[in-house]
Amino acid sequence: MSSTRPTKVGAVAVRGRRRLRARRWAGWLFALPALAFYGVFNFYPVLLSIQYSFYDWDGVGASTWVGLENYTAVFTDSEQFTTLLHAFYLILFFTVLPVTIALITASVLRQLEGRFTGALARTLLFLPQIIPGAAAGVAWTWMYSDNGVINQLLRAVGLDDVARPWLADFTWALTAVGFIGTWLSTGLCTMLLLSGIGKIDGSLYEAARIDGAGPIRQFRAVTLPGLRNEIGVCVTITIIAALASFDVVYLSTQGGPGTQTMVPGVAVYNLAFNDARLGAASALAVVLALVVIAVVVPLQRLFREK
Amino acid sequence: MPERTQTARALRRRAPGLILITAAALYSVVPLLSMVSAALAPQGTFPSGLSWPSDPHWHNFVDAWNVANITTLLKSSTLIVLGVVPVAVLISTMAAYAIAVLEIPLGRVFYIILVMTLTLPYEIVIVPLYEQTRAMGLLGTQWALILPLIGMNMPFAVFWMRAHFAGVPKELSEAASMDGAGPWRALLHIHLPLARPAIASLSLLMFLSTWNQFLLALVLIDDPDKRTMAGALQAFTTKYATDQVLLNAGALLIMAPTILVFLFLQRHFVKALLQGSVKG
Amino acid sequence: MPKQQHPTSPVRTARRRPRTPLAAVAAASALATLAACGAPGSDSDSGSADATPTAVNTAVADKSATLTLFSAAGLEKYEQGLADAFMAQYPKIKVKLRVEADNNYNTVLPRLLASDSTPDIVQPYDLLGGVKDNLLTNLNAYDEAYGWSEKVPASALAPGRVSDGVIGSGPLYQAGGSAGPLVGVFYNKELANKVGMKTVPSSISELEDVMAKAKKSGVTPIVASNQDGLIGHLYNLLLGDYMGAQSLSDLVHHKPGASLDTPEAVKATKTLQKWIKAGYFTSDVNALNQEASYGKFTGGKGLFFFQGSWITQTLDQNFKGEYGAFPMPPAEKGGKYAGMTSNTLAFSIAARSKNKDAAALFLDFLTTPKAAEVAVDNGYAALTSGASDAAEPSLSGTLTEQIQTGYAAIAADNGFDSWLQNSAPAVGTKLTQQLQLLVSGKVEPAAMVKTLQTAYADALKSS
Repeated sequence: MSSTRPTKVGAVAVRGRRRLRARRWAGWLFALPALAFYGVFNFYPVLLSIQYSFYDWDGVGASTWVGLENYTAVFTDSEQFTTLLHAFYLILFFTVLPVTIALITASVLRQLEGRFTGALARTLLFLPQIIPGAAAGVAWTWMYSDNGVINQLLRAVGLDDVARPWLADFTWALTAVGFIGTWLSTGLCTMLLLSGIGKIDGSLYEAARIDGAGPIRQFRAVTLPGLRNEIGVCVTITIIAALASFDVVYLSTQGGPGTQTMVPGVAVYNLAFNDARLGAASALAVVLALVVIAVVVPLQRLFREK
Repeated sequence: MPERTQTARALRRRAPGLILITAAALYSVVPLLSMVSAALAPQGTFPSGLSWPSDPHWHNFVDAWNVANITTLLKSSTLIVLGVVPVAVLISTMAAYAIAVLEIPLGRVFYIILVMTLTLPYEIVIVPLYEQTRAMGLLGTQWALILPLIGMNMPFAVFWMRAHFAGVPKELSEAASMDGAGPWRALLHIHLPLARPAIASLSLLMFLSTWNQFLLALVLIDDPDKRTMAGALQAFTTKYATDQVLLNAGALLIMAPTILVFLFLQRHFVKALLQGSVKG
Repeated sequence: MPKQQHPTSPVRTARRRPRTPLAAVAAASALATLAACGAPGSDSDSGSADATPTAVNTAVADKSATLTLFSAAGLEKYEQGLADAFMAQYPKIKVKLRVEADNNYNTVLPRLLASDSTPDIVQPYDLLGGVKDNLLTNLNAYDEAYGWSEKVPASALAPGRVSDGVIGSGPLYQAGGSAGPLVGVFYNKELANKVGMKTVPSSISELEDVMAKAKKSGVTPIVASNQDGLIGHLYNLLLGDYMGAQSLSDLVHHKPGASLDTPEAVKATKTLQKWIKAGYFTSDVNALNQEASYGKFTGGKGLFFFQGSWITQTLDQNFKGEYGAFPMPPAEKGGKYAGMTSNTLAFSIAARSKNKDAAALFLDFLTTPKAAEVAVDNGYAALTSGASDAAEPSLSGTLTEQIQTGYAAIAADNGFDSWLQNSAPAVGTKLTQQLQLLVSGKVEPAAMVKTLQTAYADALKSS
């Protein structure tokens, strides 16, 4: 899409190109409003965050330059560091589980000819994607509460000992929060993989079957490679959602009990707006952003279509 | 009877898939049903998980509507969406047009910077945005949310529209400039009509993300009544958790608008979301 | 299919182009920004606000003005009552409430005070921080003009004085009359009858007896919420009991040398731990917030509720007459009462307020009997001069009477102290987490006290 298309010959073309060049600069008029909004409310704040991260500042009074102190704190203060570990643990539930479920569903459904997903199923699968993450937090707080559905089910099958207020449980809270993420991502991943599997050439399966491949070998030899791109998309989106989670955690546990479900997003919010430690908050946010980039960029390379 | 065995066989073949998809659909909807069942219990009681009340109190929704101030919130959310989406769509379309069709110098650099910030979490901007909007005297007004959201939407929106313009055959713009049409007229009369589906999908996605915006609303607008619906949830949950019944009714009301819009524009939504994620 | 329609994915584009321009542009602009801007906060113009007015005017009753009072939702009804009474007396001046959710109030307040749309009248929990950042008005000139120091007991004004980062003496930043919440033991009358509680427990061990009895008869002894760390009310009461009100206050007020790391504090923590282990709380207490605990208490789901007078605003809606209150019993029989309170009739004026004189008139109004009446009507106790000969706390009488006698009993023992989390915002965050750990059995009392002391010392160091 770059300027490799054939040009006309001769001086006319040169003059034309010069005029074109001036016109091209004038084209910036179209891009200026976007540039302005982006610059002022997106790019500049990112730079400011980086600047704040080198200061000790309560947001109101004067600030003190502290160099890398806030960054060392992210890695030495076990409380801040574990938020990053929690974020990675959430990937299990936001990414691994939904993608696995979606892969199974998609490959089982592939064997049904035609467009099997009825409008109703499609609508329901998409619901979690539509409602605000914050609302999902409320819904699941209720699901997990002492007299909520989860415990109701457990008690119904005689597992009274297992029933507990899940979000208050020290051991299970983070896992419980994770399953909210599973709920949020599974529908979207399923739909994405389904639309992807529909695009795989049916003759590939035919050929594999003739070669004597069973369903498992077909899955490994045809489905997985064929869905490479869609899986990459699912993995990327959900990993970002896991690492930068805020809404769900904030409304379900606020990071508790103790700091068992504290994730970087909530920690940044707390540091900045409850503890008035804007420098520390910014440093954690910058580290979080770097972590996201460090995870997502290699993934993009890994899943890129050949 | 060969016909019957055939249907039976087809059914057996379909069964695992049908069961799976039903299970997945149920899984999606149970938390919401559980909220509905709790919302219909008598106020002041302690309903349990999922049980259809013998005497559903539909009036709870009316009470929750008033208690949660839904009318005000609807107005506020609508105002924010109207402030963000049209402007963001317009200026991102223009910018993408400039980058992809007019091929402005350094446009590529601008585009790459935009794409690089596409994956950045909102956490990295909340603290400075708070200070900025305060310095501008906007804090606590809806502008404090509208302006930053336009800015925050730029990477995805420009990326989205550029992808569209990049797919438009070059010959088209060349034909336009041969006809002596300036870049404005070319955009208006040739490119915009073609871009309509892309713009529609983008608008839907942006509506959704704006309406559901939580973190920025929480930080930048102190008054819960001026926030987005999602942003008001937090104040609502702490204020009305006294009554599990009203809490669920109110939370359902807060979710209702997006669900309704989704049901009406379902086809477009599904398409937009699938495309949106493939590109994002 | 979208991908075919739009063949350019971001990553591919990025790869085809050299990365240098981007990196260079980003780095250059980053450096430029960092160099061009001063340190954050250096441009704040707090100098423009007159934080220490000297020429003040008390004859403002006839000048029309509009005051904004920043209210926490839990106090809304009460503060609206104060505003209404004030406006009835001074019709030219309007008082508007700006209401924020309880758990956001402290978070939002400093930022609001620093903004251009600052409310005029506020109740800062972090008084020291507010003074340090020049956000609050030095009220000395108004004190002189109105004669508050003569009208109001010195003990009621002392918590509003700040000098050198210590509360208790020096210039006045928070003033008004004197009334406060009783923070103590609220109880469900029906359940109290059921477990046979006939008299007010007069020591911690008597209280424990009642709770043991309740537990045995299938009644949950304590309703609480701890997702928001509000077992902290009970914890603070125990700290006051074992450490003594004075030591706890010294800590909150940043008195040099004050420390939480004492055997007494550990003992208080151990008592709470004992109650947790005895199963006096429900297992989901870490998942509940304050409002959910209101619902549990009014729903008859537990006997005791360690809370403060402010709960009456919510509870009276459908639980009026069904619950009572008494002060936290002393550690030992015959010992001294202790309990947290905050002067609910004392307010501060924002340094950036444009209506300081009118706001001061409001503060002066708070010293009048009329204001005290509003306080009492809303479940607060007003400090009367005859406090020492007040009636003993008892289980009979109306809730209002019980609150008055309970408050007076603590006052007579000089037992008012404050919340540990008011010592610094970061201590509050830490306290919530530690209390949740204690409930989960994941921290031992001695370690918890040490952690809190460290957070306290760190907060002091940075302020």
